Amino acid sequence: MATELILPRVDMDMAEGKIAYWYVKDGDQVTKGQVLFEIETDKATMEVDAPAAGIVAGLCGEIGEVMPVGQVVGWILAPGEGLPSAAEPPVEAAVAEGPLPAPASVSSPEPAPAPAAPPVVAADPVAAGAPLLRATPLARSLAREHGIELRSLIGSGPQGRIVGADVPVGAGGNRTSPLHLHWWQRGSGAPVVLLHGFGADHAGWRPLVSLLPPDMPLIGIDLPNHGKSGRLPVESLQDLADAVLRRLDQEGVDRFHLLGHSLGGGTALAAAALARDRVRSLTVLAPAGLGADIDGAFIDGLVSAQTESALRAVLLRLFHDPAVLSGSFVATAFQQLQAPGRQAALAALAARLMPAGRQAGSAGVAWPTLRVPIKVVWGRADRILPIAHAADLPGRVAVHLLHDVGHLPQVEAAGLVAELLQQQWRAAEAA
Amino acid sequence: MSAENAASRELTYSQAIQEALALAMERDDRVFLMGEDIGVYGGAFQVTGDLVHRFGEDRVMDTPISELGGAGVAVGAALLGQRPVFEFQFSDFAALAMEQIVNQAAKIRYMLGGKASVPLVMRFPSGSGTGAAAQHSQSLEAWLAHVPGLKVVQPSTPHDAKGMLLAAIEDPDPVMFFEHKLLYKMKGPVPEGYYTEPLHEARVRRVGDQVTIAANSIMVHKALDAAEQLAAEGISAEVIDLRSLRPMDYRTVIDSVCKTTRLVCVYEGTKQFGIGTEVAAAIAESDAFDRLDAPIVRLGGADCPLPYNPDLERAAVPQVPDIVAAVRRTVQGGR
Repeated sequence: MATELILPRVDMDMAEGKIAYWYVKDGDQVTKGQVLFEIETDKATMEVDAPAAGIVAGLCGEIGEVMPVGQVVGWILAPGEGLPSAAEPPVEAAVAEGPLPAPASVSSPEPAPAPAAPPVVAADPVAAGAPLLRATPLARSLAREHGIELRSLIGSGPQGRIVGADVPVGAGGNRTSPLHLHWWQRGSGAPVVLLHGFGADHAGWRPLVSLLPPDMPLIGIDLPNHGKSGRLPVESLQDLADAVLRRLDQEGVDRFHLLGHSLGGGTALAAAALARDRVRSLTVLAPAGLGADIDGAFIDGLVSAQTESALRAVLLRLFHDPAVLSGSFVATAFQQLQAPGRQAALAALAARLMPAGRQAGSAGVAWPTLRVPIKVVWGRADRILPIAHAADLPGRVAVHLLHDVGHLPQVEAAGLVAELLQQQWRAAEAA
Repeated sequence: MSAENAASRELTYSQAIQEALALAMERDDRVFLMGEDIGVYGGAFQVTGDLVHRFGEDRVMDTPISELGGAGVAVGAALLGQRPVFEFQFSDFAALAMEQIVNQAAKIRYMLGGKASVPLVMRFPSGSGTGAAAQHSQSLEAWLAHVPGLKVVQPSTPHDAKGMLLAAIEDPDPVMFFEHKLLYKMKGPVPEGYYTEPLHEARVRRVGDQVTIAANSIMVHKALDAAEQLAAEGISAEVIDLRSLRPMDYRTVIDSVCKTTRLVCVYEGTKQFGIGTEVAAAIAESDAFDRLDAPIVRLGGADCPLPYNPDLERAAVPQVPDIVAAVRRTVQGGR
């Protein structure tokens, strides 16, 4: 059986130490009691003996590197034995268990451990065997019943614990259409599907909807983990797009126009790439998925705000003109975020799509294959997603850059957005 | 206290108990009351009131200040076929009578092969909130609930106080009847006449679907207040009144948790080794385990003798805001 080599505690008040010298290297045969390495503390240098006979493998402590006591620095293997899987902790597990990415110093009631700290692999051999998977009994039994691999899920509970709602079967709910769909208005022709941004829901489109003609069919969809929609494990914009397309299938909506904002914009782009034959036109406002940069502090603030005033400070970043941010906007957003499990679910989503203040994936649009009218609308004062992401778009894409507008063109330039959307819809419907 | 009121009426918790005692004595000559100062003085909390004038000193007996002696007489009387109802001034003084309760009353039926029984009721005014300090404020029901051979009940409403006390007096075995002192003045509907309530059933006091709050005695009312506040936040809590601790109605709690997937146990006695500890463990062992979607939470009394200072006394037992916070945290995923 593989034996761990750990950085031992050699005096009472020792919290960390460093390896001063390695006497062995990977592949060396050692006998029990043979000196393997020297560690250096504030007070002394000590030799560490082999706890077992075997072959040294997986040595990972660099000479001079400061490490916490208990850190695994290598293994002693029996002949023919491989390294235990825990020697390389899967990235996924680290995400599931680890703290939320904390790109900026946004206040949080439960301070997360600093992301910079190296993961301490516990000296406990049970814990070392496999990374701890936190899941409630309900989540485990649901996953078992439905043949779902728990490790494929994102836990929205504390410390990434997977709870029942994270298992995409719902508790007695609608198992095949977890997304909430709302017909704002019906009319003739293909409907416009409105896809909201991170942390919002379909209701956020209300001001824009009020500016659109009543015969223009409009559908709002709550993205997974948002609004009235269920929780779904989401790894990418494509997963979001896939969920939206499946929901439209269920609704019997074959052809449609897409209007997406921010995360919903990235989702719209990805949906257009996945189902280009079904899309009549594409309009995206400050879309995700066109570059890596994003204001991580905004995301982090949104998922951690515990008071209305803290949230207000975060939401101000959305606007060019702070006067636009009304008290009721803040109160509504706060209420939504305080729904049980909501912030945790959003944090889990952010951890996948926007880890550490960077967008992890691209919308994956093959522009030449999209032969429909496309508009990209961006506020020049956008502080969340940089307008530079619009710079490299091909000539067929109409880019509208708006002065004195922040991240919410549909709010700060609602009239113009309504006008542009109608142009798109009428042009495509007439064609 | 008598039937001169209209059919639909409200009584206080202590009036309901007094009415039950009077009805039982009217119905059955074997029933008599014992306790310190329960006669002319009317009882430490005025529960027996004027019963001595209605039933005489032979049936409403003042006992010397010796709980052990009084309890011994009560056990002996019950063994010989009487139906004594023994009042402790404070449940804390159960400590003085433990030999008779635990080693005699609880054991006799079993050690005599069922040839004798102890149809005894002991009433325990209990709980904190009266500024009576550490020796007069405890919730010791878990002590007695630990003893096989006893029944232990804790009605939370005037209705249940009357019906469960009448059932306790009818019962052929020793029943420990815990009354929270702060409930004595609480009013509620109480039917006229003689009726009994079962001694082994919990009651669902509020239906909800996101979390179960299992509470006993006065904590039922605090839990209901908390559930009302939580409803305004969109959290739907089911509140269970345990009513009986031994035998405990586990099934009602299990069924509720299977539905709600979360459990918060609220009780005034010391958290450690307490009533909620038993409920939590029973749920963890039951078929509700696979339905749990958050860690079970126990909200019990602080691990200290109850303080005399009223602020500290309040802080030492669960209050409505504590329940609201614990339930909210549980619904949001737990610790």
